[in-house]
Amino acid sequence: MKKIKNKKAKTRQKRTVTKRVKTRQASRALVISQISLTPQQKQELATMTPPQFVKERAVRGGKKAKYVEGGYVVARLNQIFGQLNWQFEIMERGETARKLDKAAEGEVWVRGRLTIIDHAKGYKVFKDASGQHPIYPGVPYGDALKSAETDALKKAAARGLGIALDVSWNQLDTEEAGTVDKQPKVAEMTKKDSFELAKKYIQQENDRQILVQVIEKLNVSKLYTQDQKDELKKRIYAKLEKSKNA
Amino acid sequence: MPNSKKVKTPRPYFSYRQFSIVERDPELYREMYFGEGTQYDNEAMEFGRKVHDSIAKGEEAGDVEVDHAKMVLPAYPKQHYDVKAKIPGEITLMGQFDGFDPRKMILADYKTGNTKWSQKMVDGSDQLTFYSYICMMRYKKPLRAIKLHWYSRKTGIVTTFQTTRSKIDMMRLHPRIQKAWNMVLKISEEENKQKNA
Repeated sequence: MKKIKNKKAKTRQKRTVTKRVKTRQASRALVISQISLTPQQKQELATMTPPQFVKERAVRGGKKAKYVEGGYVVARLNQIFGQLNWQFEIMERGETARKLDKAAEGEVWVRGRLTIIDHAKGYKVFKDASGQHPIYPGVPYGDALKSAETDALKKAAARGLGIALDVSWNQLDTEEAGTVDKQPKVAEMTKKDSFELAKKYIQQENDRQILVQVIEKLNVSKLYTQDQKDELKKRIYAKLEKSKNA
Repeated sequence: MPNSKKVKTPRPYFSYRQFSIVERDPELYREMYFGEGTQYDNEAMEFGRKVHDSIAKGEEAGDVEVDHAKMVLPAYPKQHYDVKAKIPGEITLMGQFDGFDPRKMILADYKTGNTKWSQKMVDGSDQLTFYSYICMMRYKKPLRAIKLHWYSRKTGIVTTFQTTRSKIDMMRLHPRIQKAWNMVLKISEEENKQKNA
């Protein structure tokens, strides 16, 4: 009798577990279908940061870094999600003795949480990030803390939602970023532009091996007409001859 | 410290891209390699990718600017060449060299972004030290020259910078790589735990 009871209990337990798993899977599936942005929100988030909001500041080593102000991020969050549908809270904060510059006494750091709330569907999405700011003598501590909070908010919005990420991403692309090439860009390069630039390039290039490579590339290129190719080759042969004699 | 062999990392190797991201901002690394994986490409990055692809395939892309860049950027016996090397600390480094001449031991890197490159920047580039370290460990001999070819989209002209790296430069980079890799292991361990919970 006992054995049968145990068997029944085990079967019941198995069923309950299966039920729980199924419920969990179902709830997960439900959550996945719920958490989505509207096409308009997606479009807004994918928009590049307008250049007038991108600022520059000097950083260590005489380099410059691009950034957006905290107000821009707040305005974007309000615009995309609405004033009542997001919040930012400080989860943790502390201080370190690290001095980012000589004048600093230390550094304050915070870990903040950006929460996007959908009141209608009842879900929340959290995006955490840390921020820091130096503490300067004579400057209220609250100001340093506020700056660290703004830093954390900007990072959470950038990494979590992509707001103004193109600004920091550009820095990531230009890894050992120095000065930006400020020369005016050749507007929408045409084949004619390319031909003129190639002539200039041949004039400047002194490496014989590279010039020979250009001849090989010209043979298979569809970029230029046959006359243009002949013209460029003529210039290269003249240059090679000149360097040979030299 | 977590063991390299036991922890499953997002990639079985450590690339310069991973190194620079995790060293700069571990949370960004977590987001990029364990998050939803959204890629945010800007126009300059897209152009760079097109040029690299076109050179790797050896075909013209049909885009005048891309094809022009391909025409003026010097070619090498090995293009878009993946090299892996094991370094102390059970770390496998991986480098994707834009150009490489294994006979002459010349490494080339193409730059097509908006950064204005200078000799000083090339001499101090961590990426080139990272690549030199891979070559040193893989081929057991130092690179004779490292060339950085910067294609300016503003002028359509290539400027070439040449540099070298000493063993001391590589030895200085090693602790930074080790520290960054340990961070990758730590993040991976945390993420794997969370995933399995």
